[in-house]
Amino acid sequence: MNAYSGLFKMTFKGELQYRAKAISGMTTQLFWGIMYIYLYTAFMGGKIIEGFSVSQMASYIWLGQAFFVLRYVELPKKCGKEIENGDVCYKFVRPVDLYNQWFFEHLGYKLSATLLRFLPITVVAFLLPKSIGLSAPVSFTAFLLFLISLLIGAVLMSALSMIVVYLTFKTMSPKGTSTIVQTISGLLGGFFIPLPLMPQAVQTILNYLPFRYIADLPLRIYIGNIGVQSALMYIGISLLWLIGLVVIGKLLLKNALKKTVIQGG
Amino acid sequence: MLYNRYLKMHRKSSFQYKGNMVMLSISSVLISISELIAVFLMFRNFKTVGNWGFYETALMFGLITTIYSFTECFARGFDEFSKLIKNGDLDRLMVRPVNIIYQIFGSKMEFSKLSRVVLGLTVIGISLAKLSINWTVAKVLVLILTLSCGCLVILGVMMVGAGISVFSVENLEFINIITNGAKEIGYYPIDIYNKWLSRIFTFIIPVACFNYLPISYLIGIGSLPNIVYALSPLYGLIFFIPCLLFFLWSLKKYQSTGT
Amino acid sequence: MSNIIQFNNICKDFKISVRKKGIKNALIGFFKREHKTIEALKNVSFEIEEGDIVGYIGPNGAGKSTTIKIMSGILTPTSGSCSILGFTPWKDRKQYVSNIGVVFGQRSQLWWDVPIIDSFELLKDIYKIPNKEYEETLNELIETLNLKELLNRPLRQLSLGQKMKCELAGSLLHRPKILFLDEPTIGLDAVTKLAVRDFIKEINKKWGTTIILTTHDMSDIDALTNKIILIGRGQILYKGSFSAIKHKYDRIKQIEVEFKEKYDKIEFDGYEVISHNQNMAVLKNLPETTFNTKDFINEISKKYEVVDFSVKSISVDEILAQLYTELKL
Repeated sequence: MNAYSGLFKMTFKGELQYRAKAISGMTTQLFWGIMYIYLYTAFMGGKIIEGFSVSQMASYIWLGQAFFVLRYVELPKKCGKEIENGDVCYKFVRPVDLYNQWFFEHLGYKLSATLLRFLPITVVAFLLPKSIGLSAPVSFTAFLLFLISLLIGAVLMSALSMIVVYLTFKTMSPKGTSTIVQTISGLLGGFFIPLPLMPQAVQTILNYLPFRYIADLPLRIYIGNIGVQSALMYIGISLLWLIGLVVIGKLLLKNALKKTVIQGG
Repeated sequence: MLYNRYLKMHRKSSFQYKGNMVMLSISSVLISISELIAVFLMFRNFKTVGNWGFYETALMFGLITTIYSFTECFARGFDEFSKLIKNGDLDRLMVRPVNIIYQIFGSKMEFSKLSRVVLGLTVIGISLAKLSINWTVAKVLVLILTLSCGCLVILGVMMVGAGISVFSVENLEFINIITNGAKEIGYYPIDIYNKWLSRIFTFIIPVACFNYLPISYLIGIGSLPNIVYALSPLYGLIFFIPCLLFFLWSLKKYQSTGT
Repeated sequence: MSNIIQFNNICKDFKISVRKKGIKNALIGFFKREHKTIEALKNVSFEIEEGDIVGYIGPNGAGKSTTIKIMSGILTPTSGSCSILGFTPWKDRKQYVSNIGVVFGQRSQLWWDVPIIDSFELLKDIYKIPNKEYEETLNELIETLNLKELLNRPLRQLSLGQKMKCELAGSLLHRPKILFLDEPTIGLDAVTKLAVRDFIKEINKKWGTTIILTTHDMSDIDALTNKIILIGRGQILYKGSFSAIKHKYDRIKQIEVEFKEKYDKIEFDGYEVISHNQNMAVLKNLPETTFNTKDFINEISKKYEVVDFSVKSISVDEILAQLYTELKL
């Protein structure tokens, strides 16, 4: 584990260098938050829609912005270039598990970026009036479950990102592949639009897919839109997905690397 | 003509990697489709917002998408100006006897964005058909004016971003608020946002002048005199001038500071 | 001959932000950044005559590329004046640059994945070269550089040497009066290096092109030119003939001596022992000693039994290294 904490420290330090990036990232998120709140307030017109009150919607939006970086899947940094130009072969000769290395590097990067951003956004959102700001969690249990599901969601996001790595090996188009997976998982996971606004039948299907457990579940536990019991069940499903995706990801990557080495890059 | 030569070079170069080109085109159009689905779902749940229904809003979406993607395709050099600086290509352009702005236009093109232009135009077409507008020559002219002035506005924003990247490559994400923020804002009628937000995106970053305002004229809603709505795209022209001047100034600055 | 380039008291300052080591300093730097000013060029003056090949040398970070950037109109100096071909490069950029060619060592002006000939045709349009002149120049370049087979291949398929040949051709299509070469031989193999040098010489002779090149490879200088400008820490330290410098260090010889038996210690008046191993030793004359084969062998034979010896002058690269050490660069 020591190697991984060292890796995390490096990533965190690396992220610290980009002050302006963090600040402008936060500003962007604040801007989005305000914009979406006006948008939904205008559309909702004070009514409760699909179990969301206006104030719950505001909390949902703010949390989404505060933990923005953790909520979307993307190809781990640097991976794309290495795969494209064949440098990945050099990684193969090193005595590390490539899956673990990329997996933790990616998770570390996402967590660092989040650590540098979420606090100011949360504070600002808390200070806003209740109807457009972030409210306190509905209960302590809900808050605890929120944290747990957020963390699982982050790891799940990393596991899905590793599937993107495999797909990039297949397509040799890092940016295209990353964006396609990002968009599909975003749409199906509640990143583009809150899932309760989807048709009921679609929502049922989405419960069986991994995507909503990344971007949607933690936020709805926090605002009390999902009760404790269902929350526990969903967390169970997301854990199953996590195990499944890691196993699949490892097998796929092994397979892809084997082929790359045989073809000589 | 030199520009044709640039076009030909970019075409040759992007079609060297057909697979990548296809993937990029798909991914690019997929984002827009997802955003359109989001707009659709909003109206499925809430029916209308103010005077605006789904097709009116879809028309806005179509215009924004077309204008953005078209500009992103052909003015990519300004959009990715920081790369031009970082890899030394800007120096390269400066030792050539051709206007720098012209060369920046020629330096990069992103044809995969054209998939989105096609989607945008399709959405515009369907929305216009569904909206049953009484077409007049003036309305056609306003539509054309809207498209062209819209491109100028986006180009202006990109030029400001490019100018800023001369001073600090890190600050670039701020420009994201303006470009992507303006895009998102532009998907919905601007009067649903609060006063200062809608003022900013009408007067300072005039997104409204190439969608909300001229569309109000096309479909005949709104409380201001018609002529205001009809001529609103021209404000984009006024907006463009200081952006261009800022960019030229920052190029001068680049010459005195280097990197 | 008239001066084609005139550089008068050019100064150039840069402001850079300072970053410190350690996670604590990184955190502090996150909130507060420090800046400092660096004087990249301090009162740089020199002149270059038309038709010359001039080597512009100095260690890394001495200000070489800053100077080249100012000469090619990319940068404006903080103060000072400069006249090249009667132009002020950064003021009359557009007219001026059609008269110059620039090859930046490790960057390319050619397109990565498009056949070379297409890149050339783009350059033809950029420099508005008339068809006939273009054909003539191109054919001439193809012949001298042996480019025929390369033209229809994209840059990414070419070797380093082939790339450099194409870069040179690309920057000469418009027949510039001045050619700036920033490390043109870096990374090239010996054979290609020679070919590139021959080509540079030939262009200079045939077209009368004035050539300014920066390099770390002193054999480039040795082969191409006798005129050098030496820059260090932003200041001109020497301008003039290379042979004068060479002459100064020519007196230093390295003598490899083979002895009949193994001595524990070798000591010899007026000479420094550089290395000593078994029955071999390498000696170097101290600056005050003048080396003379006859005297040397006479003297050393009195002390030790010598089997064989060989004398070597120090190489140009060693001369430069010596010079840098002496000037504390």
